[in-house]
Amino acid sequence: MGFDESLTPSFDAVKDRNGHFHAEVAYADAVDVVGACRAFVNVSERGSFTEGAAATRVPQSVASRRIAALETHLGERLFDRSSRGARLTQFGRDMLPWAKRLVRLVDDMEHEARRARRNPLRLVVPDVCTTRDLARLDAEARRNGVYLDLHAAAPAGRTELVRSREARAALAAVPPGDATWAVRLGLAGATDQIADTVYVETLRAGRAERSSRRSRIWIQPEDDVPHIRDPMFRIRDAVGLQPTQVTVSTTLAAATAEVLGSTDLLLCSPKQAEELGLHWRPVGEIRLVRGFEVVAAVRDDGERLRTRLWHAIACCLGAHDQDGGTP
Amino acid sequence: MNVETLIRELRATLDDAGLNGSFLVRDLRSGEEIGIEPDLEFPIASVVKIPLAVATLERIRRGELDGSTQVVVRPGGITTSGPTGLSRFRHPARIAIDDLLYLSIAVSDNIAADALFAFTPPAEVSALLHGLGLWGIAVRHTMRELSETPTARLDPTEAHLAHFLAIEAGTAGRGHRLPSLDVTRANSGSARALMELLQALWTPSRIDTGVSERVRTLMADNVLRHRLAPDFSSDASKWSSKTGTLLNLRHEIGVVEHADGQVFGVVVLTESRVPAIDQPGAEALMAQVARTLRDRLRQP
Repeated sequence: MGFDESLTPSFDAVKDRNGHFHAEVAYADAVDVVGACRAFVNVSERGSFTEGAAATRVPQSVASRRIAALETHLGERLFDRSSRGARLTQFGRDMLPWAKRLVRLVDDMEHEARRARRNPLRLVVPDVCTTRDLARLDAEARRNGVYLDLHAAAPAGRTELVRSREARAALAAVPPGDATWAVRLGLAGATDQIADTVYVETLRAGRAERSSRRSRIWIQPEDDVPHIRDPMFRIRDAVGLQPTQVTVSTTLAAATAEVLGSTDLLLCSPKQAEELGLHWRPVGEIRLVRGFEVVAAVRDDGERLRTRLWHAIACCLGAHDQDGGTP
Repeated sequence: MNVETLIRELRATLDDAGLNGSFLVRDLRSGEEIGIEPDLEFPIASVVKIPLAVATLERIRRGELDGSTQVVVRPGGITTSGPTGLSRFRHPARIAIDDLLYLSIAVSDNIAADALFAFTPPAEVSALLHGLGLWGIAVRHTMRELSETPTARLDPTEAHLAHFLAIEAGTAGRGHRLPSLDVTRANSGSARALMELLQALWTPSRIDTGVSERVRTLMADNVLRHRLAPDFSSDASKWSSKTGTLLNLRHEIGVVEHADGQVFGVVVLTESRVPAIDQPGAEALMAQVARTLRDRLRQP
């Protein structure tokens, strides 16, 4: 093997895929086999180092150096440099199909990686989120490079879907202490003729009134969880309401219908009250908070949702932002 | 409205308030009556103090006891809210049997009742009742066992847990994990059996007239008047009664005597499904249902 200038070790400034420059060792022990194969295939197809390098999108010197490195790696010349242009040696012709296979495999792998990155993350959200909220969450997530496939379910169904791996993540209902997002609950009525703060005890019938209809508090299915339902029931019993005066409704629509036609009250968030056209007031005796936390089959998904989509999810749930206001 | 519809509506009202109840109202003159589940057995709690008073007075009449006998009563040492009278005394007191009767019936004093049980144990009270032709009221234990409920072991802020236990720990056949709520182990009786006792006290019966008159006076002096009394007492009527309260049980049995001579016996035994200690709504509803039944019975 005669002396070839391209085999001399030297450094070159090379621009990578992300636009960064690094000093590439032109001739080193670690050979970029894939990069070299790409150059090898392109140069052989075009029959010219200049055109082949251009097709590989590297300077000709880099292409030459990579091919030379590959030749050293494989132990034989691939091109006959004595002739004009780039003519393959017999060894080069033997190696070409392998180089092509390798390049195709890497291309397929990169394509698959791009597709996998866009594979939507199936997220189960509370079924109290409106279509508008969900659409905005989805759009905001895409801007942050997260592709969501949103499904709505009641509290128990959400965690179950993650446990059965039918969904990758869910916004689970948790006590406020464990929550990433918190939504304050209050009581909402059809008229604004209610006090600034509603004490549950005001629903207790006085001793003198007997036959008049007693107002009720409706708990929607989203709040049929121990940390909200049970304190509400305890308050009901403690202030002397009848058992039927605080009731879990089968659907939010049914609960809202009861409230619209009467003096009943709905336990809900301020955002829900606004959407339903009801007047929201805080509860006097206790502070009830809906808490949400991401449960994910894979830890990474949870982290991505918590960090990249905190604000978008907060908007969707009607949660307070970190300063205590509503976004 | 016919009686069936009325009773169905009253049952629904009770159910809304979380009450299961046994109601019986009887015109003691004619024997006509109206009720809701009057044969259901309940632990009768402090209502047992009426049979105890009947037994004690009967023994005084026979000369086995002397009403003026003084007893030294040790302080109850009970600090939980609820118990009254001697139960809350801080020092020993000397009290005559006659006055123990007053405390036991009029202020529902458990220590006074147990002092009387010391003279006439539960089994003897039972035997005396049977001798007077009164069946269906089981007297099995003293008042001390009644106070041995989970409430005594819990912090006052957790008392609702004792009520929750009382509501949830019932077993088939009206049994209960807590002996004092188990009709097969506690002092118990049905509304009908207790009505027979009222009938025997207010109308001629095998109970001596002197004894029944004294019991009626003691019951008229009852100071616990928050349950049925507001709906039955007025200037034109006299309400004599005895209440019974234990965890989720709220009872009252009594007689209303009207100025026009009409006399009605009223027995209300209830158990609540609501785990709360103070339930004025339930108390008011008990009275309302009893009054509605009485008003219905009074219609010619």
